[in-house]
Amino acid sequence: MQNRLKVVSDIFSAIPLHRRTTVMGKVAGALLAVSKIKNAVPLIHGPVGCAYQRRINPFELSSNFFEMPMPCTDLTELDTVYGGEEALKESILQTYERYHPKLIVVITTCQSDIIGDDVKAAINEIKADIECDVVFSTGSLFPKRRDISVVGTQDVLYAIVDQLLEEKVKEQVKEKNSVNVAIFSVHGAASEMSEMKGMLEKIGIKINGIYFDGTAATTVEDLKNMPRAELNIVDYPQAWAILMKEKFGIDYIETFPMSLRRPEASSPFGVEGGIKFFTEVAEKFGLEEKAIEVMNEEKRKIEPELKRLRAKLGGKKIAISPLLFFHSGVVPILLSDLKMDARYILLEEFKSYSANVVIIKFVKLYLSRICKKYGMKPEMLVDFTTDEEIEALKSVDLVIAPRNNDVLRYQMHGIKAFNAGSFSEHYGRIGFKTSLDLGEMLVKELNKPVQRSPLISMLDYDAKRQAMTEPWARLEDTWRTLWGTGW
Amino acid sequence: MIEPIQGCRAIGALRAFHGVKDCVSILHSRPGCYCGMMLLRALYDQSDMRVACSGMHEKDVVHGAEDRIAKAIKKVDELYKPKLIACLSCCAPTIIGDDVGGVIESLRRKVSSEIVYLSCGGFESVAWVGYEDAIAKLVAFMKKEKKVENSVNLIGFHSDVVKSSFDLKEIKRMLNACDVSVLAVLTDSRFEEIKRAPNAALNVVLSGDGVKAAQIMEKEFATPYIILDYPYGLNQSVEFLEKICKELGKKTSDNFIEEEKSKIKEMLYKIHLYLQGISGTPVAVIGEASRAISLTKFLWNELSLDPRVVAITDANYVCDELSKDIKKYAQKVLVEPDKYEMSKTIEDSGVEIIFGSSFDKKISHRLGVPFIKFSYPIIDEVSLSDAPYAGFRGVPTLIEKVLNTVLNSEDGGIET
Repeated sequence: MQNRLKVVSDIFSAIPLHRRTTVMGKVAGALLAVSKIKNAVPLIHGPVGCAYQRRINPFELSSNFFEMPMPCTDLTELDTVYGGEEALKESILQTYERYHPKLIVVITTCQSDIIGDDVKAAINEIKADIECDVVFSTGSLFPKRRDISVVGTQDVLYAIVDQLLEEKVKEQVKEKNSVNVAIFSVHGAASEMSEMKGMLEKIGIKINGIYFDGTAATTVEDLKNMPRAELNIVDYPQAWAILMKEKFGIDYIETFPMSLRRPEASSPFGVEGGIKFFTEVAEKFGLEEKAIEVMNEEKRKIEPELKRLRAKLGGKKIAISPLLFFHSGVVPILLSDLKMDARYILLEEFKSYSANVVIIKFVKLYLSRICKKYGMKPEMLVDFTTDEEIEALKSVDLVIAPRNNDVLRYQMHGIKAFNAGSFSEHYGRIGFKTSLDLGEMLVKELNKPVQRSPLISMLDYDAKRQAMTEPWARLEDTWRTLWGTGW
Repeated sequence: MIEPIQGCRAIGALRAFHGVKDCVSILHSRPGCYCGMMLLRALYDQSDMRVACSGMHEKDVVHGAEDRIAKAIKKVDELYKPKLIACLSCCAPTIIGDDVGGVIESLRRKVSSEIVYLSCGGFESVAWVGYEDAIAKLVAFMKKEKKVENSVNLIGFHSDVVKSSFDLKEIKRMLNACDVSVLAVLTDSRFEEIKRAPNAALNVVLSGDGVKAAQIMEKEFATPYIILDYPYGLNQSVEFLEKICKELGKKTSDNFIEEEKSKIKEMLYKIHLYLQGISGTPVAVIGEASRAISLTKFLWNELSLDPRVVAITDANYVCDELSKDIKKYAQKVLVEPDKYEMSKTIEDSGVEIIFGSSFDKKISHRLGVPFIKFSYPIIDEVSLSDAPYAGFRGVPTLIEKVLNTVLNSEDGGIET
């Protein structure tokens, strides 16, 4: 990760958006998916605002859709009455003639959805006239599941498997012992794959393709080659992976399974997480023995360094933000690989993040179980006032916080804090070396003096949500009331 | 098919209503509409978030969402206690026929805020028409009391364009120096000030934006109006003051103008060789009619640059008339062009500096030429120092911006 990109990403990550003051909408999600595919062009089937007002990428504000072509069918009031199918057909032709893409992804909007345009029929009518593939995404293609979010993104990926990868592809020669790695870069984790790739190859597992890794390097041809693999590796539950299993018999594993039964195995980062990941993948190919051999060799390589870091960090008292549940990956490293001592879970903070009771209960149980696994029983800081919380945290060496906003608010009180969300996003990756990177950064953080008087401590903050000023707190209150609970 | 260069009716209306400082806007919409528009605001100014979403869910598209907009009005009234609530229905409720007007009528006595409603289906019109209609809607709340001599309203002022607060401060300073006061700014004023706008002796329509409201006010309250270029540069600032004073039947402050000219002259000595050097440089200007036309005039007349392409992203009812002059020297004046076509035209025109918005910066990257952001939206640059682009004080700021951008450009251009 280049420093500039990291800082640009961090600057925008301070803006409280996702499920706090808004959700992104299916069009933005669909555009995110299209933006990861080389030579793919979205075609927004709706009025101009649906294209223009989506030039900002709300999922990754550090990037944007400024450069991406954003053609639009420009539906008018008349189209609302007479239908927009003719406009769609004409626009597909024009989009092809103008951009010569390999793939056009038609994205429907409120207007075209409500008036009931037969998008599929329109595409079928025009398909023979152009030399590129066309798929459409409505946001409603796949069966809804509670654990599958980011609907617009998922819908485009589902559309690709459903409409682009034809049945005849089944006949393609399978690459023996091969996997597709499709870890969507919006979840971090995909920033660096070389360690994972190298270890898989040593085990005897070939990478058929790395998809949607944020570099827009996935081509349409790559997508068509997906059925050659024997396994899909995804991050969270993915509708398209389920469909590939149904359509092509290709199994999948989730690298962030979020299981209460094995909470310590919920991350592929670091030594403990890596062992779980490589073992699970190897088992799918009957290569467990080779995997153990490779993992032992890699562990031996990093052991001296890990030992040095444990000597510095082992036993250091930490407080953990439950938001790290969502920026997963670091908690098992902290407790298992680095042997730090979890004293508090900052549950009150999570409550203020619009979480509903079911999620709070789940996260509480999840983090308790991880800690229990490593012989720790941290206190749950809940129903505490700010002063009480700060007083309690004065006894810890470091607060593991999810974002810079929180790091700063602890530092204002003389408490050291580490931005684990940023770490997870920029440095978190599948493999053992993540533990070393995290350890090094924590050592540095602990050795730094606290910045006691940042200018932003002059501002007035909301009493409950201490990183939020009044306009944002009201925005969140309004959103929460009118849309529903956040998580 | 079009690659749009401006947004839909809803964003135009939202921008207008957000300029009423104690108004909260509610987008009666699915969350995506809200997210896009809220971000355009949030990335510009994090201190002033007065936009809510009724939170239409998928099932509401079937069953209707009148209950949601009612709940939103009550919540906003309770939480923000605004003077005005602006309800904007986006595509989904407009198509399914939610009776938002009826909901508002039923709530008028139950909430303390006044409420204004505008149908804003994205398919109904583009952004600038939404802006005009929103400003015009405000006229219905106005009441004439007593005329205030030597006073004006500024109409068509956008409070969300880079440097706008400093521009307004400078425009007011210039007018005050000529003994002219500003009663209301449409829109960058409190609702009460806007209500009293008919007390002004004259409406000044900035580059034609909001002319529809000015025309209604002329009819309803006999308030005359003049349309003036946005005061970029020395000449347009002088002209701005002279024409307003003439309409008000008073003399401009010659001393003030001479003093300002003298300050500018002194500043020019410091960089005059650079200005000589940069003259004749081909440039492209991309922006709303309200800013792009007058900036082009400044670049041509005062900096001696060569505007090859002027792309007006958002027109207005009088932009054809206002752009007559620039058509005499700009090689191409494109009004609401397709973004792809516009990019191609600019790329083929040999320009060496581009002026535009955040959404245009990639064109300069492709060409490897310096890029200067001046037009809406600017969402990747902050502007905190009191250095306006408009008025006399705007002259050094604009020159500084242009020269620094050029002087710091490397191969491949630089974005500032």
